[in-house]
Amino acid sequence: MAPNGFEYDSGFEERDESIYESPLVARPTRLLHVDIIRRAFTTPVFTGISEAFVSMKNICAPLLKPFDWKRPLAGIVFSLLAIPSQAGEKAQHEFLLFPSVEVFDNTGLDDELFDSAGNIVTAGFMYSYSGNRLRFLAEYVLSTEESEMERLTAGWLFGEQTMLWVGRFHQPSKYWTTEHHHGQYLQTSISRPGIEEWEDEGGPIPTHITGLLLETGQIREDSSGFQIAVSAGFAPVLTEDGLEPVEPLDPSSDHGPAFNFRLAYLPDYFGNNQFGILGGWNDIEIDSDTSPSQLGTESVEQLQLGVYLDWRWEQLRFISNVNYLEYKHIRADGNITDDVWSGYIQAEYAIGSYWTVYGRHENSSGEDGTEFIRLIPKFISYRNVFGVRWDIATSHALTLEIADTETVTSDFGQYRLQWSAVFP
Amino acid sequence: MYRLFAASLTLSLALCWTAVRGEEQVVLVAGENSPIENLSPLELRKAYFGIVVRYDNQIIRPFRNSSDPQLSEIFLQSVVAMSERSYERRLFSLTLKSGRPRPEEFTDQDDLVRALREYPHSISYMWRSDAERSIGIKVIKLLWQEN
Repeated sequence: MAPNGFEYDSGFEERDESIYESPLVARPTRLLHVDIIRRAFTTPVFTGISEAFVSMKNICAPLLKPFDWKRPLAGIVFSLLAIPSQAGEKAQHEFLLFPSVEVFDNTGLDDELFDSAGNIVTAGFMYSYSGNRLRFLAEYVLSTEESEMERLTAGWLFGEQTMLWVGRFHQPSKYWTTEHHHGQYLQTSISRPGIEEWEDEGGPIPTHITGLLLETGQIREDSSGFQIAVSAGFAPVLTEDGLEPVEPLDPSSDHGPAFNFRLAYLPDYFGNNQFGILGGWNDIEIDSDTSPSQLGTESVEQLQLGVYLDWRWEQLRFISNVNYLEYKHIRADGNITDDVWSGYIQAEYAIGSYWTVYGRHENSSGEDGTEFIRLIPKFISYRNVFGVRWDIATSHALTLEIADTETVTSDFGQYRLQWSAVFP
Repeated sequence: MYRLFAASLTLSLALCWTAVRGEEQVVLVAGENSPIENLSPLELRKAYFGIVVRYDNQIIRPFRNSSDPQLSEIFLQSVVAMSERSYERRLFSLTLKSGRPRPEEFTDQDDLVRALREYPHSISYMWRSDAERSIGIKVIKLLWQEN
């Protein structure tokens, strides 16, 4: 029992003090408000949710064993090539190209986690095939930083609005990510919030899941409606470089299960306004070569619950997302549980048809005392962003952004200039 | 004298054109062999946002008629209820998110008519006068008329 009367997870008080000798692990600095938050989220209801996910994991474990995706994926591709049309209807193909060129300068860096200056040239490709029921979608990103198949899925349409996807996808509990994917031109700001970052850019929540994704929606006669997305699949593995998702064409073993969801209400189903709840449970295995594994943590069970809002009032737009994340470190010498709050609010104001000014505030609470977050050193826990976007021509934009940024270990300024576009 | 005549002629033609358009209506059309007989405003809107709408168990394919800017403006106001910029961005977003095909766009009305005849479950919109002049298509319903 802790001095404040709160009962921590078993093993927390018996923590091996030697782990703090590692430069990667910081001694938790527990604040009063963090304790209050934890108290709220260790109620029987919340604990019950976590236990339900664990039960689901045990039930699904035999079905979630990783397997070689090469043959099924090759089968999907060749099937699509062999069946150009179905039932007399001409299949439809879509191709989108999202190019962008970014110049950046980071000032006041204390460490070498981020480059001090440079440029990034990116081309995002999206291809989709739509038959009468069958759909195929691939998203590939080629840049000066990486080359990766981001999404590769095949889907079957049930009814008019229920789609079951199989493959690698962006899981639904990250709103910003599933709204913009890698379409840089479609997001107003250059940067994305730290909590919404990709795994290899310091994102603490898994994004790329390989498995099943069910998406459905319902439109009412007044055009309002709701959407539900639920996914189950393989979570990433934590390595020295951060979270590493399953590669569809290069599968590895030891990926734990992941379950994620989002429920959205849309006052106008065809518009952009919406709000909702999202969450997930991810069993993140730890690569045996990384420091936390050597320190005794075998895996981390991450529980996420959050709310989000994306709303427009004429020229004004607000996007916000607040998440509670609980991490249970599975250790032979007793489990450790810690948690973090992280959220952001972005406000945008359109001036005429061509200019948009925007600002974003990101903040986190409890990240200093969360071992998992400490193991993702590029996670941006605090940031104030200000930017201007100029839509210079149809489907072309030029954006300037400045930011005051903090990670767990450093505090620096960011300056970015970016051209982005979409074709055709 | 010649300049005065030319100016008068131009003004007269402009007035006549406005008068003709003033009597015009925008109609929903399909190929003459299309089984489609009617669509509700909600179904129409769904189709133009890439949401699957079926007729006789076949997916309806919406075509955009971009042969006339004024017609496009009326379509945006009366069918999708969005500005062109918002609609275009919404379509990009929906396609990127789930691979939904965007409505095919035609800048040449003859090509549009050919496509409507080729795909029985396709729909589009036209000025009524153009629809009545075109061979091989039928009017499904009135979408807009100037008061």
